[in-house]
Amino acid sequence: MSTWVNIGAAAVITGITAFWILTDADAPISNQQVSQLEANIEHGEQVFNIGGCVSCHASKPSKEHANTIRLAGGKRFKTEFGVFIAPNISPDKETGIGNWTTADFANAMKHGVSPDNEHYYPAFPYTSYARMTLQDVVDLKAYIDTLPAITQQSAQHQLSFPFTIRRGLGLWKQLYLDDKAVITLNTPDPSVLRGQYLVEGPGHCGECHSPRNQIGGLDYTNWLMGAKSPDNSGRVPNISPHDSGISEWSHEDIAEYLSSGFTPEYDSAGGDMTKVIENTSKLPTSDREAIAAYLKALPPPQ
Amino acid sequence: MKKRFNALPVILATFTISAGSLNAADVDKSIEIRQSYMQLVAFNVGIVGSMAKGKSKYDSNIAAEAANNLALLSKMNYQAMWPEGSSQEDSDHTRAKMEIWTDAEGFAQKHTNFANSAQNLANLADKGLNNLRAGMKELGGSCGGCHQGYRTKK
Repeated sequence: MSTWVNIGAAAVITGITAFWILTDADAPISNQQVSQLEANIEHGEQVFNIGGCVSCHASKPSKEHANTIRLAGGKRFKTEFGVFIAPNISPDKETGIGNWTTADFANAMKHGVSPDNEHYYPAFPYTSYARMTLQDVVDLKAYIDTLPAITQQSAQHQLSFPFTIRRGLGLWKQLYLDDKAVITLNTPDPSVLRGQYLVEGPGHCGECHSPRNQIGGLDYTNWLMGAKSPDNSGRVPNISPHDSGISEWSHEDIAEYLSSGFTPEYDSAGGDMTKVIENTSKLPTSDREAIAAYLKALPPPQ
Repeated sequence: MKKRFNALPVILATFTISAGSLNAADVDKSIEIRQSYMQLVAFNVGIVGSMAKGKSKYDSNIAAEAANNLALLSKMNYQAMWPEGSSQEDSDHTRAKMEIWTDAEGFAQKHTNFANSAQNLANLADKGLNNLRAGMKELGGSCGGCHQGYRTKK
């Protein structure tokens, strides 16, 4: 009898140890690695715009600060897991990310790991940012460092059990975090490939436009085919070349939409997409063209 | 058709005076009027939009004409087209949110933005395709700025 108890106890200990190892939050990018890259602030601003950082992390707009970018956070995101609250990512040393090294920032962006070696929730779309080049991440950090530092404590997320256990995200990442391209495109066209990088990486379009499973993993078999909105208030449109998607939109239609927000019928974007258009309207024309080229090059869904 | 058109000023005047006490027919009419108005806006944006996309050849006269129409449309009395009591809670035929009236100041600001960006486009439209595109961008931003907060998602 006591043998069985011992075996049982050993199994539990092994289980706990395995969970502990599997759910550890490693920070694989080193200071030495990023120090070899020279930051380009001007390009960092472009990365900031395609990344749409401001759409989630900007503090509530006020008349007083209408023309400055203030990344103090505070925006609430209601989801079925609870309420996520965007943190302060302004360069404030106490309450923002002013004390982070570039490697800290890169580990957050590409691996979803905090400087304290904790997992971030994937409401922060590192599952897409994982596909970014390290150079773009370094440039982005340099640009954010030029923005106003704002002292404002980040609020705690309001989640329900078991989602309160951050270690559980270690398992989630084993399943859903990788930096491989989503779609295999057999084309040498640099514009299509640039579009793929922008859409699948920093632009993180798939995070809203693709469906998720019950534990929030992206369903890559239905890539960009629309999804219910994260707050459950409606549908995010299908932007794949499908009959119920945007197969009717021309390359020029897509590029214009990303510039002015006008649809082919000259209605305008509404809802959360207006914020995205604010960002994409600031991109170089060639990048909007590239996104259009990629969306037109997607294989039609079965 | 002629009779209907003549009735319009009367209806609009009624709306302005008796905002908040609309009957079902008034609600439907106001929704019909503002949706027709939006069609006219879209029609004129479409003329310059087609040039911006390279679908039709840039013509400074035609562009200026469409942009001037937009500037004119943007100066119309919008309060009369959006009388209180004609939100999506009053009718299934509209996506107009209650915020149009509960945040009247914010809505007025969006309308001013639209008027300013339409005037800006009118100033730029005959000054070359790149200027036209820049003006379109700003105009589109003002349209989206209002649709985001004051119109429900589809």
